[in-house]
Amino acid sequence: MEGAESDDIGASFLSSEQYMVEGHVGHGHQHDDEDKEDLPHLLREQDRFLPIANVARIMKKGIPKTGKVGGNKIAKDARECVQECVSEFISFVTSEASDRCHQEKRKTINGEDILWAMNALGFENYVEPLKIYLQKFRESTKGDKPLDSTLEGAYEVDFGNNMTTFAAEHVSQSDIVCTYGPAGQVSQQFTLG
Amino acid sequence: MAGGDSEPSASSNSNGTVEAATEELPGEEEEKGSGVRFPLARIKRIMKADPELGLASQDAVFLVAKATELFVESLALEAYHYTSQAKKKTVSRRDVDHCIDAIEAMAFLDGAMD
Repeated sequence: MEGAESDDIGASFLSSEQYMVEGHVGHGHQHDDEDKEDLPHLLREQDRFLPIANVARIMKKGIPKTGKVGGNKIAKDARECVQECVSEFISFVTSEASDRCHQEKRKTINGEDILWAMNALGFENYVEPLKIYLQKFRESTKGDKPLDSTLEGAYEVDFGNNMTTFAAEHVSQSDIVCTYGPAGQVSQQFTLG
Repeated sequence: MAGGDSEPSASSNSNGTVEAATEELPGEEEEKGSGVRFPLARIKRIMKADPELGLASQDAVFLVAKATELFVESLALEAYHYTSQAKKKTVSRRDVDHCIDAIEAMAFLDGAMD
């Protein structure tokens, strides 16, 4: 399931994007000026944050809609705040996973490291849904398909029944039904066939 | 099971909150084909900003992306609870700040938002 195979795929894929960053040990991401000198292309606005439109869309998905016209809205400053929080979150998780990786004398952070970090940082309720997503992701990238961040399959959300169904075409007849509450609490079941 | 149509429907769950089916606008249909809603390249770039980071596997980047999605949903929903407590309809920055103070797992955001 886990192991060298994914690392190889990951490394070969990622090396083409010059993913590896070396040096600069001991600097946190706050030291923008120092980093800028060496890696200027990394610190543009768009590199530091996820697109606000995506953030906004996912926020909307998380909140209930009322039956009234217009529904609930999200203020611009709230969206921007969450956009910043997101980058903090990513750094926080990555850093934790990276520390663990170093402790174990490994150079490549893998899925397990991320899951471990989730647990360690108080996001244990994400772990189960993430494992399911990961399984589908791996199945869809078998055969060295290039990763363009898309999984071929239908991803349908039915909030009325609080269900998310991901049906991957490659995996022909199997449906994964994953239910998780809006705050991430979990119950999931697999339906095959 | 909804076949990807966008009719909103609402039902009350046991907490008394109303959950409605997501209205996916036609332009968002393409998002449904993807298991990830954030651009992975952008996720990677943010991860890369950590100078101590070595290599990360595909799995790791994917999981960070999905975790981030869950994080945004959770944070939005938690903030919304404060919004509705205050009987407002618009989630404000203050509601988000409130969550950061109140939720232990969000404590890492404290002071990062100044």
